[in-house]
Amino acid sequence: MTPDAIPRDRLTLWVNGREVSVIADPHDRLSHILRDRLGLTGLKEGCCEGECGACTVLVDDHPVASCLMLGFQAEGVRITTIEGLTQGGGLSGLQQAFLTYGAVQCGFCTPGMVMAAEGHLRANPDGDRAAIRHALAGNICRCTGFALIVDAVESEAERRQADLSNAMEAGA
Amino acid sequence: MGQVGKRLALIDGVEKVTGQMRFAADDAVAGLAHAALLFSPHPHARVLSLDAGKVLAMAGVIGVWWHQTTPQNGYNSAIWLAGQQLLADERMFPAVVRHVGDRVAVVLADTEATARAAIELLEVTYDVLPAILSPEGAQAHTGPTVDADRQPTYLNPVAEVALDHGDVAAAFARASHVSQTHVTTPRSHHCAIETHVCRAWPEANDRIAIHSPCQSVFAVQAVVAQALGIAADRLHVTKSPIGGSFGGKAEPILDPICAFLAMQTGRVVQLQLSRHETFTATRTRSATEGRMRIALAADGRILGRDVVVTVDIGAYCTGGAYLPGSMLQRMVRLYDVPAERYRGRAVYTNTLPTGAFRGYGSPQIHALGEIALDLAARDAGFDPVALRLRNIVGPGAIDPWQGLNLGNARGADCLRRGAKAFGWETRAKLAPGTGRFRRGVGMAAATHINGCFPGDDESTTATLGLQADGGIVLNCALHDLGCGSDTTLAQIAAEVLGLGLQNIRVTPADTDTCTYDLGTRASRMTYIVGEAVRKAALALDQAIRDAAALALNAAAQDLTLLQGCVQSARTRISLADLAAWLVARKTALPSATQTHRATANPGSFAAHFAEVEVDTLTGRVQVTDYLAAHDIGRAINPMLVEGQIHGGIQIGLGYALYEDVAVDPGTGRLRGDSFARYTLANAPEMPPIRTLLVEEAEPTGPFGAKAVGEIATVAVAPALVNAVNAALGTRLTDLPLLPERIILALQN
Amino acid sequence: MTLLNVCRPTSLAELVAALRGADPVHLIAGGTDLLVGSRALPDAGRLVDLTALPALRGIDTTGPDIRIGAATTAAEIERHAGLALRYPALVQAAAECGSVQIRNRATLAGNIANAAAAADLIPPLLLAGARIAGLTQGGAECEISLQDYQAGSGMLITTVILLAEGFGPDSAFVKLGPRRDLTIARLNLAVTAQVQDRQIVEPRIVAGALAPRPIPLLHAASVLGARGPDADGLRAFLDALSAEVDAAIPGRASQGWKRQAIRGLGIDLIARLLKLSNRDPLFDGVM
Repeated sequence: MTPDAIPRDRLTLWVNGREVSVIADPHDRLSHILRDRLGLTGLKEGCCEGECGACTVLVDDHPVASCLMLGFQAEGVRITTIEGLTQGGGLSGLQQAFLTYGAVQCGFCTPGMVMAAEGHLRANPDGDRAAIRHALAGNICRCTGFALIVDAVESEAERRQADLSNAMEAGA
Repeated sequence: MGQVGKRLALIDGVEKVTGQMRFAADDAVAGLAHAALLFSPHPHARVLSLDAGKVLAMAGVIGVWWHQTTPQNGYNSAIWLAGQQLLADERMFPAVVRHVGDRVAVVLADTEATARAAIELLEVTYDVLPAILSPEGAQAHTGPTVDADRQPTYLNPVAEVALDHGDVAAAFARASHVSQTHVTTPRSHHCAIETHVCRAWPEANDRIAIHSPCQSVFAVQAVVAQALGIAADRLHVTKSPIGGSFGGKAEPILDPICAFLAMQTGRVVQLQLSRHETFTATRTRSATEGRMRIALAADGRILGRDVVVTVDIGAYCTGGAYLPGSMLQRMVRLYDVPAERYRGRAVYTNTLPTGAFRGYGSPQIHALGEIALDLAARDAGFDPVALRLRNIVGPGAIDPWQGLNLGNARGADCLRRGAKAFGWETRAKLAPGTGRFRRGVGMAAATHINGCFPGDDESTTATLGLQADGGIVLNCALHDLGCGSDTTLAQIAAEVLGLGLQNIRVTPADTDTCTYDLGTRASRMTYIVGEAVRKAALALDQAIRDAAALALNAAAQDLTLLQGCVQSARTRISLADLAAWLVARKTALPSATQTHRATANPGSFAAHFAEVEVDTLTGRVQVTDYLAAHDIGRAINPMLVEGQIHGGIQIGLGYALYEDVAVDPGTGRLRGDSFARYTLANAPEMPPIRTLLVEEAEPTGPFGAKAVGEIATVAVAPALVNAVNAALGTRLTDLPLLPERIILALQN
Repeated sequence: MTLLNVCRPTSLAELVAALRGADPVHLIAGGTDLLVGSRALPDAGRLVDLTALPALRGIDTTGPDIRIGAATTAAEIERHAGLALRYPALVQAAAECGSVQIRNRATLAGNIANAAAAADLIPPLLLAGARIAGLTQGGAECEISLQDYQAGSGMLITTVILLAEGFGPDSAFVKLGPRRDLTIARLNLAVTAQVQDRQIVEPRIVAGALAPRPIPLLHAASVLGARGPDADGLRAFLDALSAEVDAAIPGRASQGWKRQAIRGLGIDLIARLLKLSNRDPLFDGVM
C-alpha cells in the first residue's frame, strides 16, 4: 500500500502560543509536522531515534524528543520550539548567553540544546553545574566539547536568579 | 580598532541561536522531489538484476535508476581539481558492489516517505562474491590497481610510500635502549549532527545548480563533472550552511546522484541520508595498524625510528592513496630524528570507504608515535615530558622528507608551559593507588600542517569591496564548517580596515562568483586564506583612502580608517557617505583583490596533559582533568580557538575510549551504526579542560596566526592512552580502550 | 484493504471500544521504542494512543496498594516523593533510564511491554513483587504478577500495583554502560533488604542484561545475607556475583568482562544500599 492511501487527519496543535491546524498522516512525527508543515525549521533532526536531542521541543515546559512523538499524540499540549523563544523580537537571555560564551559552532545542535537547557532552567532554576550537565546528556554536540555550553547555561541561571531576587526586592 | 585577539561572538551566531540559519534541507521549495537510495547488504557482489515493477506502479514515484541506467564514468570523490590524477574507481551505481552500504539503486518520488517505502519494494538479485574484510587479508590480495587499459582492478596495495633517511641500522646498533610497539587505531565516524544532504535543480542555459553543505564547491564541481561526464561549467555549485563536517562532508558522495536526477527529471531534487545511512554509506577515518621501533641513546636522544604502517582505506581509493604519505609528513615534523625508516601502505578491503577526518592521518600516526615513545620512555626510565623536550624540533627546523622549514615551531614551549601549568612534575610522581580506582597522568605532543604547500598550488584570492551602503563585502570561496572561520577572517579584515565586525559581510562560496580555492581542509583557513584577506584589506585600505582623499580634499597618506570613517586630524567622512559621494559622481566604489600564494608550511604544535581514573573492576575510564597547550602563533579570536580545542578533545576522547564503527569480520556490517550503538562523549563525560595558548607569532601567518582546527584533536588519544597505561602499569595499544580490553590487560 | 486509523481514547470505556474493533490494533504510548529510527510503523489497522487517558496516568499512594497508571512516565516516577520513600530502587532506575527527553515520554508499561533485556525499571519492579492489571485481548479485566507477564501475550497493561509498605528505605539500583550518564545498561542490578546496623538482612537481588529478561540472583543474595558486609563477606558476595554471570552466559563473548564488571557494580550496589560512597574504606579490603 502506498503512503498516499493512508487517510489524512486534521490536527489542532498549540505551538508557540498559537493554535494551528494541520493536515497530517497518522505516521507523521511531530518533528516532521513542525518542520515541513509549519515551517519551523529551527527544529533540526539528527537521528530520528531520540539519541541526539537536535529535535528537542518543550511539551508543557518539559523537553521532549519531537521525533519520538506522533503528531496526533501532540494534540492538547503546549508545544514550544526555538522559534517560540524569540517572540517579541530580540534574543532570549539564554540565546544571548550561548552567543557570548562561544557555546555555538556549526549551530545545528544549537536549537535543540537551547530548548533542553530552557526546559531544565524552568524546572531547576538553581544552576547547579552537575545538574546542567546531566540535563544536557541527551543532546549531542560534535563541535564544542560541551564545556562552553554548560558555562552559558550556568550564567543564564545566575542571571535569572539575580532578576528574581531583584524583582523580589522591588516587590518588598 | 583591535579586532584581532578579541573574544567576539560568531558573525552568524544570531541566526544559529534562533534557528534561522537556513541549512541545506531547510528551505521550503514547491515541487521538491525526494530521492532515497538502496544499499548493498553484501560486502562484495555482482548486481545481476533489478525489478522495479512494484515501485514504478506506486503513486508518487517519479523514477528508478541503477547501474544500467546511469553514467558509468569512473570517478574519485576525493579530487579537488578537474584532471587531478587519482585512481577513478567509483561509479554512481557500480555493477559490482564492494561493501555493505555501497549504492545499488535510487528512487525519486514526490515525498521522502514514498521514496523510502519504494526502496523496500525493489527486488534485486546478487551474485555474492568473496570478500576481504581485514587488512591482513588485503595484504594477500595483491596485484596492480590498474590494468593495461587503465581500468581499476581492485588489487593491493593501492599506494606505498617509503622514506629512508640517515643510517637507521647504525642508529639501532649504537642505541642504549630499543623498544618496539604495535598500535592499532579504529575506524571512527565524524558524527556531524546534520546528516549528509544535497539539493540540485536545473538552471537556465542547460546548467545544473547544486546546493551542498560541502568543504569545497570546486571539489563538488570537479567530482560531479567527472562522474556525469559533462563539462564543469554546466555545474553551478553553492555552499550551504553546514551542520558539522570534520572531513565527513569533504567528499561529494550524494552530489553526483542528486545532480544526475535533477538533469534527468527537471525537478528540484533533495537527497538526504538517515543517521543509519550516514554511518554505513559515507566515510570513516581509516583504520591503521602500525609498528614503531625506537632507538634511544643513553641521554634520551632518539637516534632512529623504524616504522611500518598499514592503512585500511576500505572499498574505494578516494583520498586513501594519499594517507601513507600524509602520515609520514606529520611523523617527521615533530622530533628531530637523524635516522628514519618508514614504510606505509594503503590497502583495499570490502568495507566502507575511508576519507578525511580531522587531521587526515595525524591522529593515527600520533597514536602510534606518541604511545610508542611513552612506552619507550617508561622502559628506559625517562620522564615523558623530558624525553620529548630532548627531541622536539625547534624554530627553523627542516623536515627530512619534504625539506620544508617548520617556521616558528614552539612545541617546546607547549611542553614546558603545559607541564608547569598542569603540575606534571608532581603529579607524574604520584602513585596510582592500589585500590579499585587508579589514577594516572599521561601526555602527548603533536604537530600538524598549515595548508597544502608544497603539494598543491596553495593559494587563494580574496576580494574586499566597499558597498553603496558603506558596508564591506568579503568575497572569497569561503566554507565555514562551523568553526567560525568566517568570523576569524572578518576580524582580520576589520582589524586592517579599522572597522567593527558588524561592518564586514561574508559571502559563502559559489563557483560562479568566486575564484578557485582548495576549500576548507588541511588547516588552511586562518593561515592561508587569512593572509589573502589581510593583503586584500591592506589594498582596500589604500583604495578607500585614495578615494576619500578626493572627497575630503586631503592627501591619502594623511588619512586613516577608524571606526567606520576615513579621517585626518582635521576632517572625516563616514564610509557610507563616502560611498554615496562616489556613487553620485559615477565613480567606481573601491575594491581590492589580492592573491596569496603560500611559500611555507610551518608546523602548529601542541602538548596535551590528562589525568584519568580507571575503575579496575569495570574497566571504565573517567577523564578527570585535562590541559591543552597549543602553539597557535597568534589567536585571532581566543574564544573560537578554545572552542576548537574543546571540540577536538571531545572527538579525541571518544577515539581513545569508545568510538569504533566496528566492522564485523564475518559479515562486513558495522556494529556501531547508530548513536545508540556508537558511543560519543556527552556533557557529563567531559573533563574540566584548561587551555594554554602559546602566542609566539609565526612570521608567515596573518598577524602571526597559525592553525588549530585539526591539531586540536591529534594529541588527545595518545595522551589518554598514556595516562591509562600509567595508572595501570599496562601496555594497552589497541584503540579504543574498551572496558573489555582494560579488564583483559589487567588479568594478563 | 485496511487503512491505518488513529484514535486517542480518553476513558477506559472508549479504550475498550477501540480495542474491540475488527481491525488489527496497535498500541502506542511514549513512542520511545516504537518510533526509534526507521522501524516500520504499521500501515494498516488501528493505532491506539494510550497517553490521553487520565485513568492510565498518575501515581496513587493513598489506597491500600500503590497504583501507578500504565502510561505514567519515567520522569513522573523519578519526581514522586512518595515513591522515593517507599521504592528508592524504582525511583533511582527511573532517574537513569535515558535522557530527560526520553524520561519525559517513556512510560512504565512501555518499559514492561517492550521487555528489553536491559530495561531499567523491571528489576526493581520484580523485586517489589509488582502486579499488573489490564485488559485481555477480549477486553476482560485481568491481574497477574509481573513475574508471569509475557510480552506479546496481547494483554493491555492499565495499572502497575505495588504493596503500600514498599521496600522501606533500603533498596538500590545501579547500572553500568559505556558512559556514566545516559547509557544503555550492559548490566544493571537492583537490591532490597532490611538494613540494621549495617547488617544486610534477607537481601534479594535482580540483575538485568544478563539474560533475555531480568533474573533473580538467588545465590549471590543468599551469600550476601549469610556473610554480611565485612571484607570477607563482601568478597564472597562478589565471587558469587561472578559465579552468577558464569552460570547465566557461559561461553558468551562478554562473559569475561561481565564476570569482572559485576564485581564493581556489586560494590556500587551495596554502597548505594548502605548510603555510602563506593570509595568507603569498607570496600578497601575487598579487592
